Amino acid sequence: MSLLSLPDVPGWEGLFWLAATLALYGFFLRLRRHFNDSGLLQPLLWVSALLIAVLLIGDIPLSSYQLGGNWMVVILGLSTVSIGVPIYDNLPIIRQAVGAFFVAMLLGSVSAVGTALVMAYFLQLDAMIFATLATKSITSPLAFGVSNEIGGLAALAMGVVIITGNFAVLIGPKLFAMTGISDIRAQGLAYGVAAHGIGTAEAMRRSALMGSFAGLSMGLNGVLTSLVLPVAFSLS
Amino acid sequence: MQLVAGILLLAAILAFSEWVKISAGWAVPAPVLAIVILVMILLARGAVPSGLRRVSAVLLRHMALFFIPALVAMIGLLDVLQANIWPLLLIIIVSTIVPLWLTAFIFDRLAPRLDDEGRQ
Repeated sequence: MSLLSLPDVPGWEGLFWLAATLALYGFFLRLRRHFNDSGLLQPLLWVSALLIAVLLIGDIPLSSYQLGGNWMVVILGLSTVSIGVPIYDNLPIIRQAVGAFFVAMLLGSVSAVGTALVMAYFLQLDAMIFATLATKSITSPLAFGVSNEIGGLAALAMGVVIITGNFAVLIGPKLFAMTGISDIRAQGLAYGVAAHGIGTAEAMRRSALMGSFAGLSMGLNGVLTSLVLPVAFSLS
Repeated sequence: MQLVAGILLLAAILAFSEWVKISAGWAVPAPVLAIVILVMILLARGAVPSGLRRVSAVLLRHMALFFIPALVAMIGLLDVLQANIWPLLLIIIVSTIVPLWLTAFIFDRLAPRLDDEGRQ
């Protein structure tokens, strides 16, 4: 052992995947700008799909990708905390609509869990998937813990949460245009409730005000759901 | 230096939140607790430090980038998803559209109007 021992760096493999992720993300950012900010060109969705395809085709283990990817998970944590900055900036605007905020958030949250569970019941999915779906509207890191508490499959919860977030971000602009809802506070709030972290990321990109409503509703909705669900399932 | 202080503040708040969560055994996720702590610090201070503002602007603009590894990790889930793909997709589609519309609709009806400058 050498006197000077450096910590492990991710090595060429991890750095390669880190670089590949950044390069593809940059490419899709440009592509989306080129096509006038088209809602279908979500870099998150396309870059991930491409990387999954490459890993599958090349028969490359996920652990190889994660040597680089795990670095970004740490930064995701920091960027989640920094949602506090636009929330602080927009507190006066949030305060003025606080009643509407809570009513819309609570009913929206009930409708998210309710529609999923009613449909799972009628489609006769098994109990494990049923419990997993209940956590559908919570932020991804949060869905993990809650789902374990109520007997769902944590990994599946994560998957469902991620698909939900991407789908909401894809259809959101069209849905709001069709229904004539142009208030960016309303849109942000809805993204936070229905599309959690991925919705909040998109709202934040569109505007700081939309993003702060999304971040706040994601956080409050996540806390409420994580407190209510384990109680509800222990009663049933 | 200001940038370093900004990153340090975010990391320190997150670390503290994780510690509180584990030692108190709370159901509240650490990032949510961390957001609350950050807002309280900013309220007490009355302004956003310039380094924190610059760091958070970059982090928030590219938040989607940092989600990519989480999506790529879904590769391990393909089997479970495939086994139930049609009912799951149907449920996800309906239970995403309904709350997305309903939440925005209710707020739109109840909240006082915004003018173009974001003020009421």
